[in-house]
Amino acid sequence: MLSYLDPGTGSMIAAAFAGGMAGFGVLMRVYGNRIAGVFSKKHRARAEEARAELLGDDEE
Amino acid sequence: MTPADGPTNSVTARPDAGSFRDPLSRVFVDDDAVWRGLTAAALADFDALASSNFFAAALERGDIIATERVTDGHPLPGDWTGVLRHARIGVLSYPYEWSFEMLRDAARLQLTLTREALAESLITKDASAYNVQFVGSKPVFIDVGSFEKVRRGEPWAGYRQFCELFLNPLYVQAVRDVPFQPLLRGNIDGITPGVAAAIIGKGGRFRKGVFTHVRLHARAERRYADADRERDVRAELKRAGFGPALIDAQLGNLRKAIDRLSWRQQASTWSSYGDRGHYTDRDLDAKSSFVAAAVAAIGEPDNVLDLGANDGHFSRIALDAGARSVTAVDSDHLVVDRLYRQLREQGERRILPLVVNLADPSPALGWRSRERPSFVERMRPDLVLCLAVVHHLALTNNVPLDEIVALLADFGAPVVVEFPHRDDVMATRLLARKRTGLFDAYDIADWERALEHRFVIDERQSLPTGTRTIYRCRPRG
Repeated sequence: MLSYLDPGTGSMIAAAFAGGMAGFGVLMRVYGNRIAGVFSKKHRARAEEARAELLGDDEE
Repeated sequence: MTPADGPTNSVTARPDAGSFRDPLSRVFVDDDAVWRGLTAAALADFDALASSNFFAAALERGDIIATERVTDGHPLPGDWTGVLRHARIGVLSYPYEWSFEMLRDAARLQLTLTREALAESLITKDASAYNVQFVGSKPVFIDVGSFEKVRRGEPWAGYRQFCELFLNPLYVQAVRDVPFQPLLRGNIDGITPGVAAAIIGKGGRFRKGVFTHVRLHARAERRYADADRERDVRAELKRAGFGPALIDAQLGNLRKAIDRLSWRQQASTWSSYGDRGHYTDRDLDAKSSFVAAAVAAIGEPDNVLDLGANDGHFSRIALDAGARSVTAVDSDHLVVDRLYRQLREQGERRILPLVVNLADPSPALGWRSRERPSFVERMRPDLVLCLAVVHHLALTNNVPLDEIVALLADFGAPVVVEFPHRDDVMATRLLARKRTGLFDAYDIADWERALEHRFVIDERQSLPTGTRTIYRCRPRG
């Protein structure tokens, strides 16, 4: 059952970004750096870094 | 909910016009209390909440409105699986009447409670600034129906609302010095990420969180406005798992963004008014004693409404003279903010400071214009103070004297009001800007005629400087 408020996809993505590393983890699992790369070059680079870190973490 | 009366209850509570968005519970009010009807699903959530440690602690601190489960009959129309009774809030206020610091403290409360709930596998299903009220100068969370059990893999549904009603208003004021009150009054849902991004422009680039919560949020919303594309991204996001750890990190991030905000407080027209350079000490003393006597004449008024309260001088006099609480309103949000900070520092919780322009007080807003009642409707004081205000309304806002008296009469309570004569130093200054002859009606004889039309004057005193008169009066029949 969903909440009465619809979180909205855009907000969900922003929420993932707002969640710092944990959020990047989610985004990476979904999309690699595709979503992050949409926004800016800087974030493409940041996303790349985050993925590098997270790939290590994910192999548990 | 089908409106079928419970078998043994007498129905006296009426539905609150501001509570209909969440179908799982509904708020009712009667003269004694605020009631909440719960559906079976809402009751299950409440049971989880009631057995949590953070809820008991928050009740104890007064961070959540006093709440109890009612099992022996209730006055609610409709069929409800469970019923709660809440303490009543004396004076309701809304975010467009709060100052920057008040909204910030309300935001902190929302985040703190959501985080504490999360640690016990609960969460808030929304994050509306309307879920917070101020009891005096203390923010209190009133929407107990907002807590629900966490569902794994789902994001915090309140994030967008939190940005629109807390974070973005604070940002536009802190970054751009744009007062948020008119914006919140203009839209009951708050400031969307897109609008906030447009207002903030490039100015907020380096402010903590502006990039993520505003700019990126706005951009992501634009990009995923298309419903078809939306579906598969959402499903994937869910599969990837919005765990509680992620939500907690997000809440922590929001808290940091809010704590770090600073609003460059510029000197506003009124901010040095507290020095009261244009009053002689004698007038201030005489006014203070007059106010104290008027409060004492009523006994222990529950609530005094101080119009044009400024630094709260007369609000405090009213408290000292026996008033239980004071609503201190002023049109200058900077002055109200200063008063709020001062009260918070001093731990004085009996004064509720509000930003209200008497020439344009908050109207009724929202669905059918009933969701949020107007300022005048909400104020039911036992005494009104209106000191150093009349000449501004008459000469700055061009409101006729009988209309000013009509506003005072709307509150339905005795009034202490001060009238500066034409030769008063402040009145002279304001009159000097007017064309000769246009404001001849600004005169003590016309004023008293207007006042006596709606009020009985019990006492009148000329202040020591001789250019102002102060009145104590009560509404006519």
